[in-house]
Amino acid sequence: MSLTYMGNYAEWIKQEWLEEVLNNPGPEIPKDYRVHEEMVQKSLRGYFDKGSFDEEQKDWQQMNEAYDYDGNFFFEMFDAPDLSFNLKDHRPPFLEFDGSFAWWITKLQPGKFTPMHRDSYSVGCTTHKYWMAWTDWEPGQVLMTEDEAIIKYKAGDVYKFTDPFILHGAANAGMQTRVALQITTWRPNRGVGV
Amino acid sequence: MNYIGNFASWIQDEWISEILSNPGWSLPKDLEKDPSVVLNQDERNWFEAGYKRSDHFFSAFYKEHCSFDIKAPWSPQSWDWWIVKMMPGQFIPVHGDLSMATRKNAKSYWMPFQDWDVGHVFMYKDQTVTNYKKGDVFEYDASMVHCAVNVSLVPRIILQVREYVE
Repeated sequence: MSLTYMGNYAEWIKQEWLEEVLNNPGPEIPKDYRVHEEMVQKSLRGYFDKGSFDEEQKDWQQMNEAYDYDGNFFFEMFDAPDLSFNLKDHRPPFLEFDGSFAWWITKLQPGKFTPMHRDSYSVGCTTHKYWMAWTDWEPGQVLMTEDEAIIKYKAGDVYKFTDPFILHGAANAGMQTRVALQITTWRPNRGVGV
Repeated sequence: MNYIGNFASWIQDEWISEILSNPGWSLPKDLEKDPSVVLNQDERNWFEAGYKRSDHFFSAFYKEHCSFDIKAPWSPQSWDWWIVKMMPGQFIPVHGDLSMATRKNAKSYWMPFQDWDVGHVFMYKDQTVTNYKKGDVFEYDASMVHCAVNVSLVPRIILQVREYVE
């Protein structure tokens, strides 16, 4: 199976982090992605690498052709420059490696989703990839890979992708907002993992 | 949820073509066109949670939207049917079919018109249903909480059947 349960680390999540994400609008993906990505890269590495951005956009382009989102957005994504806290200062206890890591938080309000996609930008590097729920599962919410559909999780539950390049996505057809943390060792756009 | 069997050979390709090429009834957007429609509690909950009544969640096809009629091969009883089309990014929020909660001698079935694709999910109570095949038929209690999503790159078409035992 493509996801391995790592345990529950709810005590590590600070309530004020969750409240900040819940109470503030985040960059809307894909609508704001280009502007947001440029801001994030300049904040984290000092310049914008258009080449790696264009590479990452290939998957999104395919989605844009299949999805008639009509100027709407799929989900909200928060990176370190969007928030008052930085998880680099609060290293997650479940990481199985030393050194730097990239992180971002996704917020799916009711009716929002992340289309199935691959994190193809990580190919070529040893990659660890984790997903952590920050809100308890509610009916209608699901994390999917090619071979799994994860539900009934608790805030703090951590899953590791045994194949970090597998097709994955998420949806919220429920009544409550869903917040999750993503962590990877390697995301060249963000200038980490070297 | 009970697996009834597979009836793929009964599905006509022209039904699928017709569904794919027609708009059907846009829900919940088209509900606004009918002032007599009264929202049930689940629908009120959707809109209180942030879903917009003017949005298009999915397309529904009833007999009046189709050139064909459906006679479900697994059921000899009197029944209703409709077809749900979800394009990529479309969904049905969580709900229970409240009319089924009080109706005696009624059964609900769903049948996919295509093989499962990664990103197609039916959620029922605390289960997910994936990896199904075109023509599989499942009986379920529609009064229980359920929903469906399509975050793949291809449409998802499902036949819904209600059986009323006389």
